[in-house]
Amino acid sequence: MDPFEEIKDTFFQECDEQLSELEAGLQAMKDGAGDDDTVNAVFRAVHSIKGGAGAFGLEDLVRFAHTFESVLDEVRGGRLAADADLLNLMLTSSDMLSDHVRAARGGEPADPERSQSLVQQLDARRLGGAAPAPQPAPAQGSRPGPVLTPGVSEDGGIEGFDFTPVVMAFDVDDEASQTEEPELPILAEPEVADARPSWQISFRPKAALYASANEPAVLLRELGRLGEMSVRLEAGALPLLEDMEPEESYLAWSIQLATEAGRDEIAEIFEFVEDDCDLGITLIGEASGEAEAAEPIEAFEPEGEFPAPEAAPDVEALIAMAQAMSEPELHVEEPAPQPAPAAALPAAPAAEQPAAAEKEAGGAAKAATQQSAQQSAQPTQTIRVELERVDRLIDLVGELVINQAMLAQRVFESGAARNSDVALGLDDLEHLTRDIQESVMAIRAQPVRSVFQRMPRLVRECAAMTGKQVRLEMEGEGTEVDKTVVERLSEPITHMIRNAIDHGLESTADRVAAGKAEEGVVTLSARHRSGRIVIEVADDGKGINRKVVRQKAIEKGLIEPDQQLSDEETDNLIFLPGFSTANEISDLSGRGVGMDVVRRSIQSLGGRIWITSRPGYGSTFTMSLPLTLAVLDGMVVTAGGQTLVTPLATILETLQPKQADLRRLGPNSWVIAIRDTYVPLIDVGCVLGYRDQPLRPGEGVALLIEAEGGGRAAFLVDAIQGQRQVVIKSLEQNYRKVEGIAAATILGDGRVALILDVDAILAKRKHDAPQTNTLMAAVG
Amino acid sequence: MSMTILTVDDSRTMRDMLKMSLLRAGFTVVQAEDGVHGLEVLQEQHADVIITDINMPRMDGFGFIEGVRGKDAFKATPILVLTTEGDPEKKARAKQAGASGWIVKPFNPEKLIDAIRRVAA
Repeated sequence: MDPFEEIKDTFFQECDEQLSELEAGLQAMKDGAGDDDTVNAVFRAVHSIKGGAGAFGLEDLVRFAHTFESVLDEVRGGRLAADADLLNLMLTSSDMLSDHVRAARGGEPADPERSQSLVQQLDARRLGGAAPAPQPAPAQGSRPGPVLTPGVSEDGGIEGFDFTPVVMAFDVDDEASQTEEPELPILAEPEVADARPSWQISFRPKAALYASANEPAVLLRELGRLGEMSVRLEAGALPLLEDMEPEESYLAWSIQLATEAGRDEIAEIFEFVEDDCDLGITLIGEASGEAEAAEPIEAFEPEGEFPAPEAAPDVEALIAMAQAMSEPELHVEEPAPQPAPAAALPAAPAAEQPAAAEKEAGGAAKAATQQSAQQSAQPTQTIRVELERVDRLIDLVGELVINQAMLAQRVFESGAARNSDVALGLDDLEHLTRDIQESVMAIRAQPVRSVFQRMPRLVRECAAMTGKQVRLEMEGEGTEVDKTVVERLSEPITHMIRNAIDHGLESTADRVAAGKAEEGVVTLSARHRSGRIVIEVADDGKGINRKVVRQKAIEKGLIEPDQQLSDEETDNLIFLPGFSTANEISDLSGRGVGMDVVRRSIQSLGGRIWITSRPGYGSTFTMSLPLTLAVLDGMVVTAGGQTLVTPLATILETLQPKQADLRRLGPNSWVIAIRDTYVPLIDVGCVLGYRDQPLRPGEGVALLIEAEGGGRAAFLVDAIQGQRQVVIKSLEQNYRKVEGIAAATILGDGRVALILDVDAILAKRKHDAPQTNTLMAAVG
Repeated sequence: MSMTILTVDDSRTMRDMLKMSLLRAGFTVVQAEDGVHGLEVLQEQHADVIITDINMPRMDGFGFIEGVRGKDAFKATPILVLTTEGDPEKKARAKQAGASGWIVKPFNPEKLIDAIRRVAA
């Protein structure tokens, strides 16, 4: 990738971090939990976004961030009180800032009218709240020449705006300019015979110049780059050595410079030290004619004990002398290493090394040194690695796990005792392998924070749309889960939160009537539980109205009018496909997506979702998801002589079918009674074509399965071998897609085992025997 | 040997930009994330020039500059501060703390190298 684009990527990543910090800080301030550090952090977030955006020429973003920053600066300086109104305005502005970032990224543009309105409101608060007058536009300084942000003049830049982005031009040929670095082009001739305008410059540094580590020799060298120059040391002002104060400044120079450069360009050289020296810049020669022009050089004619230079002063010696004077702190016993003046700027390395020095072998060594230096100094180091490399590593570790299991099995098959050295060594290897596997998986793990941090805005917007007062509480944002899982969490969580605010929470009036606080609370939490991540969205609203849900389910033909359901089963009817449709749910949570879609997306990640509810007290949606998609907790079974793996997450229970529980519905269709309901019995061996004859009733073991779509079935298999964590291998990539099979894995004995695609098998069964549902209904 | 420049900035974007510009110009770059980190780096690492941001968590640029000037080995090391829009007050405070000069953000590589030239021997 183009390095510039790479940095832009980094910038947007950083924007995300800063936006969430901004939001968290503003929220903390609103909750009364903010202190000075919070305000500073909030200011810094907006300031950083503006700074980066400026470098990329993202004008709209810069403009908005600038207005926002100005208000924050007032708050930070204690000139503007952050009352509730202002905090609400700033929270809304942080949302708008986020919109501008999204737009700058190439996404949907920010609403210009809303943005403009916020700018006006922010300005109004700043001007209304600021003590004397509106903050003047930061002056660029009185010198128009050395302006480092071109265009920031009174009529330049962005209209009525004091900050002009300068897009970084990285194709600037700075290497060339470096390589052409002249060897201190200071004329040895005292008289400058040049057609160019000639300048007389007097330069007398004060002690402060040296104290700020500025260096007259460097300034003289830079001055020499402008044209042809002669320099004279004003040695006459030097006191006797014994009278010299080590930290005082005694040297002064008189310079004649022939150059096309103007006064501003010359002054720019001294920009950093203008307050730390006496500086005179006067035009002499033809162009001038000014009376005060040029003190005669004779005025600086050396006298006293210092030998007067015969003709031209030895410039090198002068510079060396100035340099020596400028380092009063050098310890006599241990001089600090200082590069010789000739080593000056890195002209040679620039010429020899290609631009992307770091990518070169030599650069790598350099980077390594840097890295080690940083490692020792910095508590948390990060490196950025291509995802592909990590995935390759995960793959290899998967192979390692399989190999280790195979090796263990072979060793035991060969008759080694459990307590033999080999067996004990293998135990150690197994532990180590698992540790490696977990560590490698952890590389891909990311905190759910990136998803959680989008939710406060969602809650604000939903609250505004419904007119409800809502507070969002979040717990466990640092809980980690595989990157792929994190990326796919956003949609279901968004949907559940919308649902909680729209349907879960009562209106303010209803809450008051029910004796509840006006403000409803939605809690979003994440935690690890038994090797999975559990995410909950809870509200303290009215809970599910089971009568209404049941009635609706009957109307939609999802359940029979006389079907008996537990409270839990009734609540979970909302996940059935077809339960909710777009035209009957509000704008907010509706959007044409029912809870069945949420459930499907969770299940496609190997997860499960359910709801628990207490009328009058609220509802809780709970999602349980695997931590990674690279390994799978599976039940290893045999069917028709083949070893298969069923995802554990889909298995509700296992049971031994009894003859009495089975009912035949057709020549090859059976249902099995499980407590008070019937589910179809599917002979996995037959469905996958491993055998022609189905198991006889009463043979084998049944797994009660719940598929993604919510359908249930009992999978009949020959036997269960046990639970195992297996490494998922793509069958499609290594072989081809096989109906009813999701993926493959390699077992400890080296055999390939296929992982069942539960949904596909269920769908296939329905397709093959469409009458089953009807019959089931009849039986039920 | 090329000059080593320490850049201190809490913004990864800004650190990366500085790094890219400086590497292209042939400098060696060492980075730190804030003032505290910058001082830690200087315990172990030599720097010929230091470029620091002002607004940073933990320790801001002013504190960092004072800290650097408090070390004998770095009393004569040029320090450039990164400022925005030529804020005169910040410049004055930075100078007071011991800064040698400033770079106004957003900078372009030429101006950056130019500023370094004016302080680096």
